[in-house]
Amino acid sequence: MERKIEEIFTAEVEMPEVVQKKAEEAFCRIRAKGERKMPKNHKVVPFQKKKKMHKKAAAVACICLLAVGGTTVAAAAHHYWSRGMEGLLQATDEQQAKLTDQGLATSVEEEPNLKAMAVTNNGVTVTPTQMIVDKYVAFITFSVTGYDLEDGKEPCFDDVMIDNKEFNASSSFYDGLIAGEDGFVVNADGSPVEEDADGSIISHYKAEDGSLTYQMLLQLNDPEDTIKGKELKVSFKNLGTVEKTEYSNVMDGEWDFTIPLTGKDVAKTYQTAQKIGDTGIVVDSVEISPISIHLTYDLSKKDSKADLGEANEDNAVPTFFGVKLKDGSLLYPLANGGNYGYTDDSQTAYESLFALDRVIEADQVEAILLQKNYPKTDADGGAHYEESDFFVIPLQ
Amino acid sequence: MSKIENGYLIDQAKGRDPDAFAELMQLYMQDMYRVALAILMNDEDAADAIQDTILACWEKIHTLRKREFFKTWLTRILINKCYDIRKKRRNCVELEEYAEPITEDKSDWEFREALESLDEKYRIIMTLFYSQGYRIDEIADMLKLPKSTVQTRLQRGRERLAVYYRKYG
Repeated sequence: MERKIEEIFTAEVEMPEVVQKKAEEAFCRIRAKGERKMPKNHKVVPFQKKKKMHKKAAAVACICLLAVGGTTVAAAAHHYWSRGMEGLLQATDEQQAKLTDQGLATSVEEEPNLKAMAVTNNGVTVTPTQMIVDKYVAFITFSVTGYDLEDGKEPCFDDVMIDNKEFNASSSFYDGLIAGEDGFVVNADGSPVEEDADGSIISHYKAEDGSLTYQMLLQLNDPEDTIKGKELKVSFKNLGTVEKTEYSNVMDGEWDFTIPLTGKDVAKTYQTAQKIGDTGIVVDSVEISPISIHLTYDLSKKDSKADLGEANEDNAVPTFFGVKLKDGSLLYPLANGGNYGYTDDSQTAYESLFALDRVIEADQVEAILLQKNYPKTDADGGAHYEESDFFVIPLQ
Repeated sequence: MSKIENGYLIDQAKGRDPDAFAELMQLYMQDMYRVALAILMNDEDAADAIQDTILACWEKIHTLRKREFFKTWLTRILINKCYDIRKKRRNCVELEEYAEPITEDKSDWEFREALESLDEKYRIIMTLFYSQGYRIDEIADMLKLPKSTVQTRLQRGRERLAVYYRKYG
């Protein structure tokens, strides 16, 4: 009987015309609103906090410095980076100073214009605190004060509306967790994470002073355009908590901003013209900055029978995964959300654009890594990559 | 469609791509229809509930925290929209008078017949469990019922169907 019930309830049902008709009406209404369209064929990958990633132990100097325990590094980091920025974009003290000197990053202390944009509604103040902007991506943090978040709860705005068609946005409240030296997630002060009774990592949304931080990553849709110089128009509505998919409102409010995105284009472009293995696909160019990477590919001579690797078995174009430095070490995974796809109808021109999850020394990069295979599983349940798991594309 | 492609569609929909969103909704149309039918028991109301759900999801998809919760999130919105419609209908006319026979002459008559043979409180739970593959704790969470109630109604639903099929073959 159980089997019969299963068969009955999982059999395909005949969709009545009225259902499909009303669904189409809904889609028409949505399209008629003139929502922002992605460039043709582009896929979007929003940034997601990496929880249990594992990197090679020989991870590079520029990551190691960040995750050293103790207060000295953390305290120095806050001189340039606002709270929460380390959750979006990791950087050593030196890198933070360099990005500030170069004009990509606004200094927390020296940018009163951001703080002057603070909006207070219903006793809660939302203040933009920092932004790091290059040609293609912008990392922005906001502090939220005056909202007494209940312990153990995850904060959430009911609605975050961005009135900009030029870019995609991914955003969330900062949970106080970053990737540590070995790639596993740690608390921002370097201490090991704790887990609750369900095995979930305990987050730390509140700073010591009770404030919260909201992080936002903007990525340009069209690589022919530039993000800096544009104005971010964002509106936050109502504040509450969320558990899985369920939002619970705690207070009503609206906080609207128009923020000029000021930064610098310091990217270097390499006309690589390098083949990806024996696939026939060519990486035409690599444009690399400390915080983003833009690749163009030529698929006109792609060999349909070539081995693209197990990670690309669905005929995907091998995608950016990390970099190889001049000292031989590998940095991965680096992508922090991105945007990729064909740029022509014949599907021979392909581009990808990714924000990075940490600052890199672009002039120390020898090659880029495109994913070929899935990682090998270690005895302890972790995973690692070998260089042979990537297509290695030299810049020069 | 693979999980990877499904995830990409969700990402694109979150990026306010209406075509990707429409494609994503079409993937879940069968599931939505089964759930809506189980609650409302007529196609016209099910169509309204699905339309309302599509529009609500478009407004709220940027609030979805993680891709893996998409289906649960969608189903929860749909159930609420179904209840709203049912409440409106009850204010106008008795439900028994309003509900149209849904079996008619359709190829999936066994599913419709099964729904008709069950009381309202068993239909949605049986559908969420068997058609949608949710666990008892997930169903309890979605319907805001104690787990024991879900378990009991599932068991009773099975028994009712067993009796029905013994009687009518």
